[in-house]
Amino acid sequence: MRVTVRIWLALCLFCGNHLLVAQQPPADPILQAMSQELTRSMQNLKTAPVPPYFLSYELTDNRAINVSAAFGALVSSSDRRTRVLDVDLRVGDYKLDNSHALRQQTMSDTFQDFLGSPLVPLEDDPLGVRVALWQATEQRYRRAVERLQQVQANVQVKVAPEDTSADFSAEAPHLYSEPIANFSLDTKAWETRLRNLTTPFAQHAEILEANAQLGAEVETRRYVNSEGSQIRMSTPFYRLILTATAKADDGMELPLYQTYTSFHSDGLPDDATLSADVDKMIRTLLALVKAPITDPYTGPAILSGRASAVFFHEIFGHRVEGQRQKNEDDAQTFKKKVNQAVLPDFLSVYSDPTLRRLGHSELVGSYAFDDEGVPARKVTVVENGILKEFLMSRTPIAGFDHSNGHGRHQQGYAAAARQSNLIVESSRSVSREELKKRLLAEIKAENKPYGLFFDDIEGGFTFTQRVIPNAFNVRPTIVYRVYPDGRQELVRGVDLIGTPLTSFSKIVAADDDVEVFNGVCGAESGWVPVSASAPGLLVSQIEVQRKEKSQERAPLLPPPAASAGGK
Amino acid sequence: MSMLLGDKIARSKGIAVLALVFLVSIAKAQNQDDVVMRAMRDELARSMSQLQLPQMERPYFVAYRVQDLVGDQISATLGGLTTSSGPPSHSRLIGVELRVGDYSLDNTNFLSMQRLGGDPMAVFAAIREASLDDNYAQIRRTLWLLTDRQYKRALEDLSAKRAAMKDRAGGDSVPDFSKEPPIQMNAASTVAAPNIGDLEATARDISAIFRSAPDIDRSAVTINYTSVHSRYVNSEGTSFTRSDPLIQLRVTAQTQAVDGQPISDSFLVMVRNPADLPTRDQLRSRTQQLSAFVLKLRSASSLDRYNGPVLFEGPAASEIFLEQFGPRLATSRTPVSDNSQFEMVFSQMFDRLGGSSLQDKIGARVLPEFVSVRDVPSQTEFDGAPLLGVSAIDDDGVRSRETILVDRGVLKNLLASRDPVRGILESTGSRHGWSATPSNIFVTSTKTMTPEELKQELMRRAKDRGLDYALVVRRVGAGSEASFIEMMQQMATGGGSRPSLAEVYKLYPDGHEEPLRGVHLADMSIEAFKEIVATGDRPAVYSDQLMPQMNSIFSVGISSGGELPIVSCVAPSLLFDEVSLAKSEGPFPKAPMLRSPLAPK
Repeated sequence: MRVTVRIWLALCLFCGNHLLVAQQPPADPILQAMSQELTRSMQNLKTAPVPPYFLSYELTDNRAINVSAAFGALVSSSDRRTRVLDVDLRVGDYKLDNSHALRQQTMSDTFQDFLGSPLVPLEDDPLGVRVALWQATEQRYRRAVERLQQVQANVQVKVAPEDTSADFSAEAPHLYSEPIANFSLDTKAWETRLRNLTTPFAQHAEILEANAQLGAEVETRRYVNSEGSQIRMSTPFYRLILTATAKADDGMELPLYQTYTSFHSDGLPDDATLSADVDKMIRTLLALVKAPITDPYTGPAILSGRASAVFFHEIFGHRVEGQRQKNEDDAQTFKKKVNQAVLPDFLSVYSDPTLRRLGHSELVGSYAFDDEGVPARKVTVVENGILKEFLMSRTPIAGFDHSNGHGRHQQGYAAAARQSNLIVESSRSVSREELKKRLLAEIKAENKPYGLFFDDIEGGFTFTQRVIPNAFNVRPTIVYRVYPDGRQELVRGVDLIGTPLTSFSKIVAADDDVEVFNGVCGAESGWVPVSASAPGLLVSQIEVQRKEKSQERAPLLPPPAASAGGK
Repeated sequence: MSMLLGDKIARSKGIAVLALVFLVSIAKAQNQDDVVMRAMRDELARSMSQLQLPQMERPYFVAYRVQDLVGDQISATLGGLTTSSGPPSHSRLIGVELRVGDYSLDNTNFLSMQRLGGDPMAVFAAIREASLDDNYAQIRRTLWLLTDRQYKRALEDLSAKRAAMKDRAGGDSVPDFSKEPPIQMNAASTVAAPNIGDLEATARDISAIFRSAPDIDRSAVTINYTSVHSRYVNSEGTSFTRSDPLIQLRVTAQTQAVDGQPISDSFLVMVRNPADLPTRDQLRSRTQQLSAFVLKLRSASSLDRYNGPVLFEGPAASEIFLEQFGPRLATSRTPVSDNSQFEMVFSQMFDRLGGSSLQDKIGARVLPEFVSVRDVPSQTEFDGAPLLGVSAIDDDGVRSRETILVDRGVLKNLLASRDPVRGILESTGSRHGWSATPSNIFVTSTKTMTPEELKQELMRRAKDRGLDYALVVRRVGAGSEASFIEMMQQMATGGGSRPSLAEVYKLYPDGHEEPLRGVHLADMSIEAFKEIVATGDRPAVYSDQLMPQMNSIFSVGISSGGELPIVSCVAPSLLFDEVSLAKSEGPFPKAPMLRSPLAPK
């Protein structure tokens, strides 16, 4: 009897303790170790001939499960954990420091960093983590001092730059902590789901490639800096990508993509929805194989919301990233356009990392703090057609002294101003029906045989550098010809081309059908998750070229008979 | 009595049932394997009988290879894991080799600069990832698409090659492919996979030793486990299965000498079978020795320059022989190209990278008369030490066989794959990975001395040269991987000399020894081996991964994945009359500004 009571009491105590723990999370021992080592480094290096004025450590824990299947069979399945350290150590001062762009770069710094990067224990061993931080600090300190000398010499030797803004902005310290995110995935169940999902593709000889890839990860970032910031963020991320490629008789390869993203383990669509999407992909691919090829064309077109979103991300978003107005190698498209009209007056553009969802869609470019410890905030890039503000990291540019929470990077890369959730808004929206009527009117007015409707798009790439022609190339996957009588016809082999500035001036109307494109964007600071959303747009003049075509003809033999060998 | 008998019968029945279950499960496993093999055979038959573009030639040879690669990497520092990949990763690669034309002239041994310029990844075109499931339809589907692509490429290459050959005076009459008898062999694995949890515990345990060594700046334990299971069929009737498991355990320690010179050392354990791994106690004590040796080197002296007799003792002799001769004892064919200027540059470039083949030296003396060299792929161990180069069948499906390479100092033959070169038209069953490589090299000598006699001979020669000490090398490098990383680091920091010798001592006439740091071989080449003056009487084993001859990649393309081949070398201690050593020059990085957090406060 007494024994039972004691056990019961012990259980209660245990539960009580447990609740207490849940309410007041214990101090994070790793964050503490980071903070201790940061303080020790700053204090001891204070007496060095060239003391650092800023130091930050960012430790990123990542667990990623990746599963992929093709035509009903599993291709890969992996489960990995990594912990990566990023160090920003600066000598000199905010005005001129070792990060200053050296005009005429000589040696690849990234390569050296890669070779010297320390091994960080995955387990929560504070002393082991401190040794790794110490190794990295020693290495970065030596390099920073060397580089500052080069910078100082370079500044003396070269002509004064156009933009004399400082190298780094001072920002207020922040304390912020998210609980470590829950992460769960039934890998075996997903392996089966992906096998089943990709099985129907195998019934069609025209479809040469088809696979489904699931990526599920949880990322916990710990950040401390010498200004006093201590930040912990933890986010799970789930993504499913379906890819299928058909080959037409003339050798042209026709890819289709379908992507689903969510911050929640149950946020991806159910099997019925996915199967329906697979069936739709198959129908579209079979129709594309037989569709006529478009000739090069210049004329009016409608871009669907998703197509417009990618179009804006590529040709507009990248050009309002702050450091591009400063880098002497960049085209600096918008440098001198602040407070001038850059878009039609009915369009506004925001970059808003604080927005978690838009309509039914989650937005993958959202975060609470950027990768330089600066709180995320909504930035009005364009208001009623007038350029207002650039996306800023802690690298100032003329006229913009501070970060607006857009300093982002992939682990191992230096942070730079990058897009988050790009939102294109129209103050004068019409219905999709009305937009189509306006397209028909444009076609007739310009006496064109047809216009184009870009329904879906793959994402593209853009060059903002001066040495490469300053053009863009966005890859449409589903395109229709729209005839003056309103009839639509699926076509293939279309590439959208043109130069950015002229394209903006040709936007004449927007509809109310806002769509979201979630993706991952690669640039100088690595790959970061971004979203872009936009209404459908009518463009009075768009230019398309014929897509580069594979010269390889379709396979000589039919697909092998699946039944011949069985068991 | 009768009870006992009954009991015995019952027991043997039980055993019989157990054996039956066992046999059935084996049969079942083979049946499952057969799905993949059957898919390979069925698609191969279809490709050989039906694949043909109108008015064009059919393939005369097709080979399919399916490799299951299972692997895991475990690394730890200071008692904590730094990588963890959950369950071992598994991937499956499909490779296709397809030839059109005939054995004397086909699409291979040809490098299309036109194509390489347009698509540098074309060298990997013959290989693809395949499904992990033993899914008959999907394996055949992958083979079908890959065969189709390779056939079209082969036709293009053959016509481009014929055009390129027309332009040149005097053709090369060496055939493109050797004829070999078909064989079937099943050499699937009998070795159990290691327990990853145990390996992780080992990595944690031995890496924690460095927690009490604050003057070692960096340390790491890495354990790589890989297992390649290959299935191969070709249109000549050859087929085989083979398993190549491998565990590599490496412990590395780095520090800086008082003058800032980086000091790095490591030891490597390689075994095929997890059961052959040293015990944890043995690993601990080797790690402690490594730690002590690295710390001792911090205050060791160096020397400016040394020209004189050097003794490569024990495994160091096998190591230096393997490093210098290993890659050169195999043939390598330079492909014909559609750009003849490039062909010359290419040839020179790869000679420098991989060490040129000795094929022009056949019949010439390359070693002293008292030294001979053989390649013995069938030998599994020497003096109790396992030989890791052992091979029964090579990657072309040719039976591996013993080859006499050097007979009394004179080069007689080289190791070859099925890509003939002038004078060597048959395969020696030596294709491992991308090219021909040795398996187990045996260096033998008829002029041997005991270890004591060798040292006396060394000191006598030093004295004759007016030197008051001589040098003994006990380890050359810390293995090819470590040397590669060191080379990359040196390139990154602007240096470029050879890596420092891992373990070298000054030996004085009174018999005492002093370790040296930061000394490297100044101009070692195979020419120096002709001047070997004596050898020891106790051969030692050294095994290492070998970089393949790069030419082969461009001659026949890459159609297999997996680890670099491992070669074992068995050689006696080697006494050289004249070797040059020099000091590794700075500038060295400064010593750390702060002490390690491991140091007592």
